[in-house]
Amino acid sequence: MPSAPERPATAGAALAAAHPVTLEALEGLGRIPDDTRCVFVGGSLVRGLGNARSDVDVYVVTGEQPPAWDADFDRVALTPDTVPIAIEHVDGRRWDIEYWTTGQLEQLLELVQPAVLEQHQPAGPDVLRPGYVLLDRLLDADVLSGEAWLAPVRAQLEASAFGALLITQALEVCDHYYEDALGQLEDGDGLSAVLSAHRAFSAVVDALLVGYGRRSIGTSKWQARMMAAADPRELPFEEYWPRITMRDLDRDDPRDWVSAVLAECQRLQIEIDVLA
Amino acid sequence: MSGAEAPPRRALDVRTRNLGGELFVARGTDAFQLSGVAGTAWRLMDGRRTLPEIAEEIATATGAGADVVLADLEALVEDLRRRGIVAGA
Repeated sequence: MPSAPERPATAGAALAAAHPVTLEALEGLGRIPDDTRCVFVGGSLVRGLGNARSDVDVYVVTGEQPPAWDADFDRVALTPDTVPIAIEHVDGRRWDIEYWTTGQLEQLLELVQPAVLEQHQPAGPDVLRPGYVLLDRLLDADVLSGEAWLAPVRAQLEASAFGALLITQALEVCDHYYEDALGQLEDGDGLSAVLSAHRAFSAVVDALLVGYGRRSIGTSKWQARMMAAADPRELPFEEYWPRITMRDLDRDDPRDWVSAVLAECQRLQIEIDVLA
Repeated sequence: MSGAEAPPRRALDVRTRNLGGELFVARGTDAFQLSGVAGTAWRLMDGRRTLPEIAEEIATATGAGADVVLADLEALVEDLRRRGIVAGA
């Protein structure tokens, strides 16, 4: 698991101001089942990335799956294959409360063991995305209840191939758009090649950031802030920003820009150690 | 091959993976590993460094003779060029 040199603290008073959720508030709302093992808050607010409009993401791990509180749920390729979600609005902020079972969490941990890297096509975020998000947020969680239960789970996750899997998947996304850009360039479709190359570049940056403990699953909306904070030696922010904002793109002749961006993707693929 | 030729650069249609420092490259269905000095050379083939410059960097890092390294690199680049994964040179 890549280290997270600037990872936020995982609990304590420092995080209390980052989000308004307390165990007492959740209990008062009647949202904590009797067989709850653990409750934690994760997501942008805990990571110091959120804003006044950000939702709060709460995770409750239970022995048995509670009923679908508000007929709202996520689908996931696990057993059971649903994740009930309760939605509350407290002081003008939305709280999304997801209910995961211990069995689902165990299955997820099995799916991120090193052996999955040897599979030709490991199960990816398309079918497991809510679970990957859960694991991602568990690593930076602000634990409200059940720290002793969660600690060994987190240790198991930190020793897993979760980071390598995220890097691999981001690099595969990069490959996909990279191929598109090459084909479009060869076909004289420079404008499409620009967008494909841009997406390839964004994906390889996502892969790079995993190695700096800054993960993003299915969204790049925090990428610029993550890059500013991490300032990777392989791609300093001052080099990243002109590329991602297409500052040096000549719309009338994008070929050089596309080629330069693809060469940069290629260089970063060499630099990013999937197993680090 | 002469050191005065164009600096070697990685062909754009080649993908690389770094697994614990070992480099694996793929072009189409052709995939293979570049170990040791070959991997180092691959990292340095950026289209700016000439082959003698790459040989000099590797010789400095490894303590090997620059002429020996250059001769090895010429053979390597020729092989990679034939496979289509290096352009220039």
